Amino acid sequence: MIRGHLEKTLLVFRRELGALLQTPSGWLIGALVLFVDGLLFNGFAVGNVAKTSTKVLEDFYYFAAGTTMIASILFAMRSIADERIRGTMPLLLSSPLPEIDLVLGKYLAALTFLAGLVATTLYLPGLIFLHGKVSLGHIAAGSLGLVLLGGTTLALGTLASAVSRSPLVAGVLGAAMVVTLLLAWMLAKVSAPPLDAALRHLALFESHFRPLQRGVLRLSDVVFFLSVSALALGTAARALAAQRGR
Amino acid sequence: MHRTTNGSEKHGYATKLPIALAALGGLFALLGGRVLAASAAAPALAAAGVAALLVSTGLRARRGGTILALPHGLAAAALTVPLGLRLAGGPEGAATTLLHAAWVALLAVAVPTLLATERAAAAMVVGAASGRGPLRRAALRGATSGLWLVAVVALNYVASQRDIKRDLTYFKTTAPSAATLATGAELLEPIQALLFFAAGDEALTEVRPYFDGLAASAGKLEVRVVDHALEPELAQRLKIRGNGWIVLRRSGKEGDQATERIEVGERFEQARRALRSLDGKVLAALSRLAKGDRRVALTSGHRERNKTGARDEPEGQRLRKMHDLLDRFAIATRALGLADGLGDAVPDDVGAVVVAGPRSAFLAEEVSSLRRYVATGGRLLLLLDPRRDDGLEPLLAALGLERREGVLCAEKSHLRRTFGPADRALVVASGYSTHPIVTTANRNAGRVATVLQAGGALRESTGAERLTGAQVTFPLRTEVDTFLDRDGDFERDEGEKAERLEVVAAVTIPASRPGGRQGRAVVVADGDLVTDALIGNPGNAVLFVDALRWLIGEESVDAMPSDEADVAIEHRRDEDALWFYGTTVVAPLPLLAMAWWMARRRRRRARGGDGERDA
Repeated sequence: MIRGHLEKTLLVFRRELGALLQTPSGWLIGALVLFVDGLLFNGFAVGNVAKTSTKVLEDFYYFAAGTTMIASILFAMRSIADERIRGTMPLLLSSPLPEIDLVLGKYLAALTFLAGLVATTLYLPGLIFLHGKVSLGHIAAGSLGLVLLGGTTLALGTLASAVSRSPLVAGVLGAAMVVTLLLAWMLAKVSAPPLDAALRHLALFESHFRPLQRGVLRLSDVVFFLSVSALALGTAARALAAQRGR
Repeated sequence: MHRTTNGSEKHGYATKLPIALAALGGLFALLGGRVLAASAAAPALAAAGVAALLVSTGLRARRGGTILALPHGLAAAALTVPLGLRLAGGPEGAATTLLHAAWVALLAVAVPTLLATERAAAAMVVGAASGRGPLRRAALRGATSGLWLVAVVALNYVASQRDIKRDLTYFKTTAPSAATLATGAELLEPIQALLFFAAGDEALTEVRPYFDGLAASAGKLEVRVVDHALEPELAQRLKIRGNGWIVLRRSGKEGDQATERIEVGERFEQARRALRSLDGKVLAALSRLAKGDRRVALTSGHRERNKTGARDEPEGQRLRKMHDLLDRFAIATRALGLADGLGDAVPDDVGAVVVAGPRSAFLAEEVSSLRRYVATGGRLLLLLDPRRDDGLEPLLAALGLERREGVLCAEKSHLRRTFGPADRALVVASGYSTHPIVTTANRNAGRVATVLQAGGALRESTGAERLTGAQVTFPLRTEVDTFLDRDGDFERDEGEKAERLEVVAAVTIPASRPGGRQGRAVVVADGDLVTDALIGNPGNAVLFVDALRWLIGEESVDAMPSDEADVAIEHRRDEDALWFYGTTVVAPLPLLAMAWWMARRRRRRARGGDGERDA
């Protein structure tokens, strides 16, 4: 059964990845992300004051998280909602493929493209090696953080896309969900126990990305990102199932 | 059963009242449990919430059956638990914690199930194919979502409680540098290195290889690991309060003068910072034990740069870090002003005299004293600004030097700090010769450069005041784009020629009598060379240390102790332009090219499709 699901997921994955690689918009988003990352690297991370190399690297991951999340929302908002606009939703819903395979295949294709985009930005922290002292481990942890953060944003965006009528609404809804999780740490400050602990744990960036940004790899952060992604994708699959009348 | 406006029939599930009651119940429970938890009405509100849910459960049992009633009942059951605990006085304990977790989990399953089943009930149309199927499927979906949520929360809780953490940031314990190895190899008396750590301490796994490497080349260094708990008497004699310390001592001798202590820290997290600069500390300790304190005199009384600085002086103009650096090489300092005999004769107990950026004039008697000092084998380090009001021109003339007019600037080979024209006076120079005072800089050529801030330039003079036999060399020159700015606008005007300029001079004066010592002087055309603002640059630090060691008579093996502490990234104008255009223009180009190519392919395919249709 698992093998069957895997094959079907891979089928969708290959098709969706091929579509992403062949559309100009995906490459355009990637080019824009690299351009903005370059600007922010020079103007913000490196800046005009002498900073230690560790600080430069941390600042790079700080703003790269923002561009990665924005790119993820842009990739995700079209994933399912676009089918409605193009009129192919009935085809999708009448497909014999299980909903979870559909959702997972689309998600993994977008995640692969996003991971490739993160990989192209690696030359920026690599530049720090020229004059500074940073470790490959710190770069690996930060890059893993970008992929995990981007993956979770993608999953939330996919959920928004599954329940929205248009890509625009999906984008707004997805962004709203992500921003809520980003701001959870502020809510935690004004909440009483034990709610404050729960809200603090939900803080996507402050609680779970910051350690990776600083080069500290924690199991709890990896579990958080993966479990929230799984929950969002599972819910997206159930939403599709509900639309199919199952 | 009733008819809708479009004529279809709907099951009489009458969804509005049960949902309204459930929502009301949830609201009362929220008010009683959180918002107004401290008020006297809280238990009543919570009870009202449970009651509303029980009523909706009853309604659903009558109109809808078990599938629709069950989620309402579960929600009511879940909310009964906190109400019951509150009425029981909120007992503490593991059982209470478990109950709290249980009711939250139950609610997390009940709420999505309730929403899913009520939504399905509201959308149901009567017919042969309908009935309980859609409701069962909705209940299953809702319950699955709830269980997923509970599982995710539980997984996150377990992961946070049993967290595994790895710090992957840059870390490396320093290895023994050439300077430290050389100091170790020159030991005349046996020295013991006692490493106070418990067996298995993570910090010890970093410290031990360092000392093993040092002991391999230092024949008179003995290394031993000592656990503070197992040898308390030894620790007490050496004034060590716990593990995480390194003690270097002359073997068989007691007392503070025979013992050096270095704190590392017992726990690895604490020890990381100390381990990055371990080599510098060990070098300083070994130097003090092996050679005793060497001494240089710093002139005072002429507004020289100094450790504390004037009240309104920027912190970057002080010499705190220079003193730290001297301490690492076990070089002590003392002041030398008029009151200390500068107007008469330089005392005999100093290895060298340093004049660090004076900003007011020396007396003629002081200048004569320094001239006699260097002429009779003394050692002099002059760090001078391009001004000429410090009264030192006769001393420079005696050394065969003179200062050129103007402030040293560069068109390209300069740092960028303020991104204004003044940055041109932050000149980067790396034209090192093979003189001993630039040995370390030469060994690290390509990786170090010396920075001068509003410095000047020197040239050789052949006046009558020149001491007999004085030989002048220039170990450091600037790049070809430097010039001397005479009008203070940092721009190269007509008459300000771009050329390589001499910024450091090394002078030797033959011994004044048979068997006497050669006089030596190093003149740097920048009073800021070793201020806190610049000495962090390795090119400045190694030049200063190598110059001092040449003056004292300890020609450098390698002046740099190894240091793995993080470094500040300085900017150079020529590099900045490359980085900027490279990262913002060149890097995105391949992806833009792909976007353009994909768009072109798509247009071609569309045109190809149109052509086929036309055919």
